Amino acid sequence: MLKMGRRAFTLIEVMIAVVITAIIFSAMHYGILTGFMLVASAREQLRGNQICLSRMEGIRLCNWDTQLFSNNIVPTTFTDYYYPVGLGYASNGVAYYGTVQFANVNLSPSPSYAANMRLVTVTVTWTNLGAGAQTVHTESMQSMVGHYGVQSYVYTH
Amino acid sequence: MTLMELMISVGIATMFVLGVIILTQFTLNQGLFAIANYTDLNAKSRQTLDRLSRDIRSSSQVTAFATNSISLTNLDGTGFSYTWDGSNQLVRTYAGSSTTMLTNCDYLCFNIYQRNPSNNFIFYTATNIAQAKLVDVSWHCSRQYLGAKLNTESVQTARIVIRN
Repeated sequence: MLKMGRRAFTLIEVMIAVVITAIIFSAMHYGILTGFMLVASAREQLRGNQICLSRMEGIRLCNWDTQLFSNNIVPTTFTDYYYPVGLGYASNGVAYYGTVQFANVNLSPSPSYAANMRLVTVTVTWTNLGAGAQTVHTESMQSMVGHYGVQSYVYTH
Repeated sequence: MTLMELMISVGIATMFVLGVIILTQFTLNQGLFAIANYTDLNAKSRQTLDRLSRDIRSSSQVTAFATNSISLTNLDGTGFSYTWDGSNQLVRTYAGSSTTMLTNCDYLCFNIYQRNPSNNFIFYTATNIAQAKLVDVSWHCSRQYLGAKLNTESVQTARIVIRN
């Protein structure tokens, strides 16, 4: 009976193939994880933006003479969380530490009503969670407030 | 090939195939679909929040309120409303025409507050619609893939001041 020769891969060939496969899968896995981290980072930044905007909106309602510059009414530091408190989430998630600062407006040329305006800066700082490197992030928002308010806000639908 | 060689080969092949299956599941289930779902939900939520903020800011007063629905009027007397159906859709009604702003919305809550804050930047809840000056809205949208929500949730929350 004729014995057929059997051809096979050598150990070196198999090892090279395994290494190449491992590199491909590792790269794919790393790509997916990087995608997760980017999405998580974007979500955290979006929440930081929401917190700044929420604080800024509330500041618009404060009375200039009695509330706006009162540290009791508008604290210069505050803390908020990634998951809004009161919505039933099991954990708070990332903590955001915020500051509120008022400054005189610096316009050129300086208008006569400059003393009736302030520049408000709301800043939040947070450290990302997750498996990636722990990085401190900052989000800031600025707006001006006026002693006597602004004209009606009308948007044509 | 001996039985021992065969068993080792089968063992290695089984581990390799299992690894590929798990990685594929992870990649598709928790990876690409989750990211795509979140991106889509977030884009719609941001668009809705922009429209809702613009509408409320330019309005003059609240005319009807419930935790799932709010109606307001503009300075020109025209009215509009936002209503969540309790399980899925948020609909904006303006000048008699309705537009679905959100789908897959499984939680939404409106709250209204009075003008003046108290200590520590806490606003008093409005006890009637005439007192409403600040509208607080929160929602989250999610989609399921293969029966799990995974990382496909978009959470939005905002406080919007009626500026007129």
